[in-house]
Amino acid sequence: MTQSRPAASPETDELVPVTTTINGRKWSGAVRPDGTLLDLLRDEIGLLGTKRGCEWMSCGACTVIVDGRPVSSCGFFASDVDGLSVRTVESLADEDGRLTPLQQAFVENVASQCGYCTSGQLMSATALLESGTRPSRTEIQRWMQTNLCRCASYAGILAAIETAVDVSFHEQNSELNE
Amino acid sequence: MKLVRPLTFVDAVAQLHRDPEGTRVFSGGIEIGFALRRGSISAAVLLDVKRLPDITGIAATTGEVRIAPATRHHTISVDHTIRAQLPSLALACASVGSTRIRMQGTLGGNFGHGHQHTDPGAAAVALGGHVDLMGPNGARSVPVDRFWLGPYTVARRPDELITGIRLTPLGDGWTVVHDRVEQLHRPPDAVVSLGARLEDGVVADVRMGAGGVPMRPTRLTGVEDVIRGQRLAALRGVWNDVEKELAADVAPEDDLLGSAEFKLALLSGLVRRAFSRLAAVRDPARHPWPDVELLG
Repeated sequence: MTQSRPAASPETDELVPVTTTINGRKWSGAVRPDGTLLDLLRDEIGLLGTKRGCEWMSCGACTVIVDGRPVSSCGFFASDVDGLSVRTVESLADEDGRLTPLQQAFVENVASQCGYCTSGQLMSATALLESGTRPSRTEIQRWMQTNLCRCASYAGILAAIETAVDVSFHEQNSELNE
Repeated sequence: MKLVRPLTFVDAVAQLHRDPEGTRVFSGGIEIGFALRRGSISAAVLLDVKRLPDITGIAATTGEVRIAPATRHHTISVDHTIRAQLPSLALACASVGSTRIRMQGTLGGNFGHGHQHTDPGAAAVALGGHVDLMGPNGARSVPVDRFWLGPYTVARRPDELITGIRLTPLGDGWTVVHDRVEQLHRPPDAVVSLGARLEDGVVADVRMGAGGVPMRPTRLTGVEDVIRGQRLAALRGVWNDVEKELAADVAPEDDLLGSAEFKLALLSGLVRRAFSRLAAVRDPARHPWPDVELLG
């Protein structure tokens, strides 16, 4: 279910220069004034892990992290990432393909079926894990409330995030005790 | 269409003065972006206010708290000054949209958009305060309860910018509740922001703001007058009077969301639930704040 394409005529738009860091790499280019971050990531840069869902900031499939904040890239002006850093799902596993504890927990808890929402779920949960707080189950549910999963894998997703929270705080405590 | 990012208020207002109808102001850009992509509005210029000086931030001054317009909902909902002095606004901002929307949307954007289904608007009219505006003829302030004029219509003139929102703390001894009737993926059908000062089980003072059902966020002064001085545990006894005043305060209209009668019943039930929740608050100073704080 996608929205209709922009009514504005691209040929009359004045392109906006943008310099940003995407997944640790500098990117410079030009975007339309009303262009979305989702279009930039997928259509311009080719990072297809970020999924196009409702295009209404409702489903969370397109969630990315901008300067530490989870945002819906479908409702975020591409021009607004100028000078900021963007992280997509492609940034999570390392170059050797080693998964983050959160990704590993998603696998172990069978937290996806079709997988379409998974990248958005991962990015929302990653931002929560990086908040430095130890979220309760209620706080996790509230944080993730509008990251929708049409396959209804919510129990697995919640279990995976709780597992990753436990791993994350166990690692932090281990570091403190060393 | 072109993007303009002024660095001074003078430049921003000059742009608005040159082309007030063709210029669209944005900070988070959520509503403007959707409306543009949907084709329901057009713009010659998108005016990005995020690079203006002091356009974000929260400051407590004597008798009020000033919130700069580009301050995001999430920032407000977790801010310690807001939680201490304007807890109802913290709860309202924590209710807006979703985590992702709160990370992007701003208080000034919410006000300027003029939607009557607004959580922060309901809290703001209950608190009282002013919206500061700047235009080509200088600065002016509008009392917050006169800022919303109707659906998507506010007192900001097309060539003005919102420069600040100043709200008045209720003070010590107040308990607050924010409650709403919501359906996923839709703005709340009804919103109530409730503050009450209780003395030995009696509602010594009360403030209430409603959104969604009235055509603009509205303070429920008639309802407040009925409830003030009543025992919290005995409000059922005055509920007929409450409903009469509620109808007069909010004057709902039939629309696609329901009949006026239905909306009034919805709001009545919500107000009742808000008072039940208020009665259940054991320690107003230790709110279970709903939003998780992000580092940085």
